[in-house]
Amino acid sequence: MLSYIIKRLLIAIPTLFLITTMAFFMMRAAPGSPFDIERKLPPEIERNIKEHYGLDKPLIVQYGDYLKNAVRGDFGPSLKYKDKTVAEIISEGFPVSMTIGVSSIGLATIIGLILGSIAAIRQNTSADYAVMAFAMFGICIPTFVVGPILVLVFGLKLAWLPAATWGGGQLEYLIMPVITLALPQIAIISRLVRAGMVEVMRSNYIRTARAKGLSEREVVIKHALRAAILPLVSYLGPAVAALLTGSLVVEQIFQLPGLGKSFVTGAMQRDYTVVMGVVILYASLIIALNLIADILYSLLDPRVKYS
Amino acid sequence: MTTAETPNAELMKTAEIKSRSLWDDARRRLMRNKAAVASMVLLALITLTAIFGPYFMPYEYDFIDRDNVLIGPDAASQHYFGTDSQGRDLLVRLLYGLRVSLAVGLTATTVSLVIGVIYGAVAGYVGGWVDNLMMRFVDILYSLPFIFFVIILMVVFGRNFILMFVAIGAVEWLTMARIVRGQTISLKQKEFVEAARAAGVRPTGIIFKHLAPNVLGPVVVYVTLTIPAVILAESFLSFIGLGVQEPLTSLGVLISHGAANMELAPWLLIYPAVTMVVTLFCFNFIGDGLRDAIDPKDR
Repeated sequence: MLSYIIKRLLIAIPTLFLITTMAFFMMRAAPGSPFDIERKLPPEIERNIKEHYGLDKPLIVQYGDYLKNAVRGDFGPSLKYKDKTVAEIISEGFPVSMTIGVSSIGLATIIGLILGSIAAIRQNTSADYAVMAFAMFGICIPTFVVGPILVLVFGLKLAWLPAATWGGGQLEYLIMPVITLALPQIAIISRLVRAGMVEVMRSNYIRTARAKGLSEREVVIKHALRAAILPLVSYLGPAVAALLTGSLVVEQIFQLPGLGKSFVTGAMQRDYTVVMGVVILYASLIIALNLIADILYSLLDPRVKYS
Repeated sequence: MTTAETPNAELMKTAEIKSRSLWDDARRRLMRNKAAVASMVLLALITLTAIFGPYFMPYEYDFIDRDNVLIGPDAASQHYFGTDSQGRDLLVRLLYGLRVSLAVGLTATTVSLVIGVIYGAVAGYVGGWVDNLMMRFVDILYSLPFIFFVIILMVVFGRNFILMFVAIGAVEWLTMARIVRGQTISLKQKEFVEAARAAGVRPTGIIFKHLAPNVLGPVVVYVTLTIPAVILAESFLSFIGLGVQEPLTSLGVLISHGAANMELAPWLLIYPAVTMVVTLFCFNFIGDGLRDAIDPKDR
């Protein structure tokens, strides 16, 4: 197990390196520079600015410098916000994205587990069909449709909840973004749980458990649910990627000061360092969660052995 | 005369029963799935309307009607779905947007299909360290925050329409490659492949003639589920302002405009949103129906 983890961590290094390299050169290939503004800068001043940020050196030297600093955890200053470093921008935006992301996946897991189990236990009944219909809705109705409709109904017409902005992360500001982000995840998770559960409920050990005289509740909670959770664990990595995509939209709809917004505006304004910082952060996060998912999987399912 | 006919008819009957292949079975099951059949009909209608509808419209998609800016659905001025904030007819723009979204869906899925099938088939068939290397590469790509790279690509090449197809297609081929590889590995141990190899068929011949057709089932299912995913991805890019450029439009662009104007002009959000959701429903129902038809063990 330990050697497996070490192996995976060793693979993570070239992966991160590859991602950093791709992102670096792609960003630099983009036309324009961070200092393109409405009024053209006098060439001497532009040269001074570029020299200040080291952008006058050959690209390959800049790349080397960037790697050297990044390894030491220094992601440099933002090229657009003069008084901020990338680390500061990330530490401001990340908690926002993290809060809505973690709340959404938590909510989605709880509701998805309940709905999926109900659907599986009552397979081919109206309860099952209702859950599956709801799941189909969740998959087919995109975040960028759900979000505006929620804002229109609950934010503007009924005025029960604040229509947008972060509001320091108070609960009433969180409700709509979290629900918007969680909805497709609830759909996917309840489908996964249902599929896993349906298969497990047919297995021999469930029959044994029933034959022992356990109540249906005990059979489901103690035996079936445990096995049905397995597919959920491997969904952890992809879920983070999905949340990431979703949070770009949600942050725009609800005008939240999250990292997704920093990334999109950063990419559009050629704020190279901010874009790189966010890419590296999320890539590390996805790699780490995939590893954690695999380790959890082998702990939960002793049949799975890694070497 | 009658005595001669009876055995003949019986013979034909048995022939009919014998000829029921795996695919016939699958088709039968699919046709019994009401949601899937209804979705196929509806999707065909939607596609035909998107292709031919604009020819019968009184307005062009970029025509600006200055006298009718931001009016609701109105038959008198022939703006049946209303107009947007610049006075352009929503119905005709919706049909054009649908065209673009469907085109992106089909093209990007084809890209992912071609790359994924070839990559997966080669990795699965060749096996050994080649397979290991190829699949490790897929693993690495899986852990990329892909949406970021698509966004950077759009920034680098300036919202190029063709590039968007390719970029989204290049994101979607990974799962396809994994599915095809898994199928190929289980297939290549089958007798008919061994027979082909013994008969001296070259590896490329085996891959394309013998393995590819047998991998078809799961691939078809995945394709029908990839198309809506791609349509969503395109709309998502358009929504955050990196997709199709004005005056051309897509469902995502329309929804984005609708969301911005939803208080004043809710029809701008409702019509595109409903169109998009119905289209996605159709694809997903067909995909689910196909999966149950081809692989019915989970029903």
